[in-house]
Amino acid sequence: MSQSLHLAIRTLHVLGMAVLVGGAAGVWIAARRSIGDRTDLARSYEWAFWAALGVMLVTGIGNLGALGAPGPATDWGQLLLAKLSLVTVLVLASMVRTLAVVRTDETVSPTRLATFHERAYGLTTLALLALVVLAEVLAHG
Amino acid sequence: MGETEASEAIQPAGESAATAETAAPETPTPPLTVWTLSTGNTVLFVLALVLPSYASGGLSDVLPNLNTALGVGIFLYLWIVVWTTTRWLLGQVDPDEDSLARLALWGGACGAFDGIVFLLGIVLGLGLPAALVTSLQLLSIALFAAIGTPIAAVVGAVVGLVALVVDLAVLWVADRVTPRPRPDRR
Repeated sequence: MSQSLHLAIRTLHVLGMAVLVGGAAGVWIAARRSIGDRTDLARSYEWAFWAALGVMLVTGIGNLGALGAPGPATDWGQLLLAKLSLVTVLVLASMVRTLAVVRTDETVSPTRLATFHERAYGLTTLALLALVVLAEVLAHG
Repeated sequence: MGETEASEAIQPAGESAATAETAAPETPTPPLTVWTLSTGNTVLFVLALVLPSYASGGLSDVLPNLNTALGVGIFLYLWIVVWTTTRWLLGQVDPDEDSLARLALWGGACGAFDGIVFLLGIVLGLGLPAALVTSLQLLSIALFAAIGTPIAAVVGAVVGLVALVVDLAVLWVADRVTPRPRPDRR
């Protein structure tokens, strides 16, 4: 039971990150190539982003408990603190990004909108990829 | 959904400050704004607990002893409580129009309410079942709830005020980075 639960927690954690990175990269590519209705795409992603982020947080803490985290003075601990700090910055920046997406006037020119989407989702993708790298190092050294 | 969200950009232009001080917002808050602020605040609250706890070394001993399923349940419960309160709160106040004093009053009050509901939910969900199957006495649980409620209210009010400051800051920045139509040059 416990093993199955921890496997489910780890699976949800990986799937959550796939949603976050895949979605952000998808909106970024759509903005660069002017594919489809980017405003609707961005708003749909934002709904999924916050749901996935909540899942990531709770499964991340679950992973820490299941795997047994070394102390904060170790290299591993310092890396974890760096990762959690980056997550905090990402959350704050993402609140700004989502609220800007919600407040975007539909009469804004497609060029300005595409520039905003490119920057916002490009930066989000980069930050998420940095978190993936940190997670890889934490998991496999 | 799209129409409701887009309507946020169209604020009632002629609304006076005096009216905004006393009345609920005329434009309903978009559900995505509620979802963003409530989830963001919940995640930041947990991170604000986890980061210093781990940095001070306190979390390493506690984590392996925590029940994962219980932790997931408590987080989901907190998430639902914050989302419900945020949705209700944004129906009463307008962060773009209302005075800081009014926002602080509502933010602190809702934070206190969240703290009490969270504590009582934990007591009802965990304490009562534990009393039924273990030697834990109902009186002890009632005493814990009685002492814990005012503490939860104070802690919740402080958390609510901090969350308000964070929310106002991100709303202010979001307002400045939101793409707008160029002004007519004629």
